[in-house]
Amino acid sequence: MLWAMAWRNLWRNRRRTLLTVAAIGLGLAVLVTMSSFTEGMKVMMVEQIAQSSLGHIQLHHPDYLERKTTGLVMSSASRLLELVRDVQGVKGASSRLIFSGSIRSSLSSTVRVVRVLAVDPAQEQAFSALDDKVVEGGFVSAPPGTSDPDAPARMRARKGIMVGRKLADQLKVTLGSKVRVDTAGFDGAAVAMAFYVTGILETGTDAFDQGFGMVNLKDMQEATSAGDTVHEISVMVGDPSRVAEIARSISHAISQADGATAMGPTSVAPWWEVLPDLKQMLDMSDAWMGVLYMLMLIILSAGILTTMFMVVFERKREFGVQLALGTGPSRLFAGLVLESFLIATLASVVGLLVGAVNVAYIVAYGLDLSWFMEGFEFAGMFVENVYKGAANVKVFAEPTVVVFAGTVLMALWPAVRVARMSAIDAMR
Amino acid sequence: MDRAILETKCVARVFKLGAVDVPALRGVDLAIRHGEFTAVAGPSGSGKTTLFNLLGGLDSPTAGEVFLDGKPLAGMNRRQLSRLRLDKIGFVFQAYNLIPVLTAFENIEYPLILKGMDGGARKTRVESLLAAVGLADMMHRRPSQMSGGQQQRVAIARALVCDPVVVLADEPTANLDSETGRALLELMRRLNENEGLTFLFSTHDPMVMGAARRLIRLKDGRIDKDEMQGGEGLGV
Repeated sequence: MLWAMAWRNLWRNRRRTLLTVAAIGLGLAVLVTMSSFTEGMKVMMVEQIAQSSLGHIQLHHPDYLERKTTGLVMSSASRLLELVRDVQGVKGASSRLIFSGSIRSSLSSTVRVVRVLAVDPAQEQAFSALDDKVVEGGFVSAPPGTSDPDAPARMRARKGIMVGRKLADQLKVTLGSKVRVDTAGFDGAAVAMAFYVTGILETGTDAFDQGFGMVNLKDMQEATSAGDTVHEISVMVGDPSRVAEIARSISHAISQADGATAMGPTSVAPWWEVLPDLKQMLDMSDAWMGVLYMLMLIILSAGILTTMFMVVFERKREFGVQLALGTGPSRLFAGLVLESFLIATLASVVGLLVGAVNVAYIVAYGLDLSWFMEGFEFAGMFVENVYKGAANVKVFAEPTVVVFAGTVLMALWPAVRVARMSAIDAMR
Repeated sequence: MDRAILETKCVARVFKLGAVDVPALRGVDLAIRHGEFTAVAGPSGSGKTTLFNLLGGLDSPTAGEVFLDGKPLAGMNRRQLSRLRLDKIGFVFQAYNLIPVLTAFENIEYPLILKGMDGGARKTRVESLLAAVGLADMMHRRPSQMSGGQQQRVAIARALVCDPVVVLADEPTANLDSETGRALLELMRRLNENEGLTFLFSTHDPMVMGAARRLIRLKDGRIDKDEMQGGEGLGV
């Protein structure tokens, strides 16, 4: 009977109940939508940045990330790459040599500092989104004639470089133009290398468009006598939620491999260790969601408390009669909490339905924030304006639990008031 | 003589209104025995409601003692008093005070649920009471679908459902027309005579005063008169 009474009591003032349910439900829908947007934004940012060049996991010499010294390399790079690729969950991996240097051309007096990434084009193309940003030429392709056995030896020895649009404009180079890159080799000695522009990319970020060059790994290994060493192996995984687990598996595979000692020390770092600023930024978005939950609860509490205290006021005499008849205070308390529970349930259904519609839209089409801002650059990588939402259990469950629990908890205060009533005072 | 079902010994109740003490009852000695059909009458402010609240365990005296079915109410906590009311007392209020969201059946059933009686036994008991008060065909109606007289009949059935030792009826006919009030009084009188149920009324209604076999008059918080009478006010 307690449930029946609670349910029927809700509909004694149908309009008030419907308004309360609608208000709480819409509040929940807002939270679900924001949660989906925030979760989707987090996933999207990590994926976009991972696909730019970061990857989900990176392997380095243990001291490399801190010191970024040219000499801090990983040996037996081919073997390491093979081990990494064999780990379950790894979608792709790419080995890289990384140099800082200057670049110039004979067509301009401009000299620019660049970060030169030497990659295996096939490996890198398999998972990098930079491939889509090439606007002229090819992705780290070889200059024309290098594979022609009839071409002169000088032509066959040419090395290709892919640069950003802004850098190409500053150096006044186009496809086929020659550039010179000066850097320091592994022994610290200056190394000058000639490259021919075979690709131009445009990402929208200065880090890539102005301060970046990509060359063939083998060309760089030969030019610098690096042998089978690399500075970095970048790894993409199939399921980003398993990054930590896969990183541990990679570490384990390396430590257990034959000749592990000979390969030298290797550190396996998930993206949040490589780019802690990104992790902090994403954690901040979680904190902001927490603030949003609190604000929404405060707003909703006002409505729920008003409703429940109105109920107590209107039914004061009725509660007095129930007490007089022998109803225990705990039963009255439970009855009022049950009413709040039922309101919370109805509101959750409304909120989840409306929220689901919103989530379905932003998962399918995303929210285009170009009205409010242009895309932004983070850690040298470009993040788009259109944010797609995420649809998972957390997006729906977390806000629902918060709103549901908050609604029921708000009923405790008026319920305690009722339980403490004196029958004769209530009936007066 | 039967022992008293309800008894007060030198009961007094003083209310504090700010700095002023207002004595509502001043040393009342009263005993109500099994089978009585008794009315407590008196002008407003005479202490009727206060006396009823004390007898029903809804309030505590400032001085003196109250006994229900031989048990002193003093020292009982809220839970014990609540249980005592459920088991021993049936209340009939002036304003019927049925629970609006429950049907007639459910309103009468409510105290049995509080007592923990099983569903089958509840159904049997409620149906028999509904028949006894002449509302067997109204069991699924809510209070808003019944007249004042019908609601008060349901209230009487609810008051009787737990086999109380006494029914306390506070102005039961006040909100009813004379015809309905008379019919209700006849019902209660029949229950008193046929079932031996004890009724104690608080009333202004001359019809109720006339129907009672014992009339207690309160004045200024004291018993002014306490006399047996024929109880023929109904012409029964």
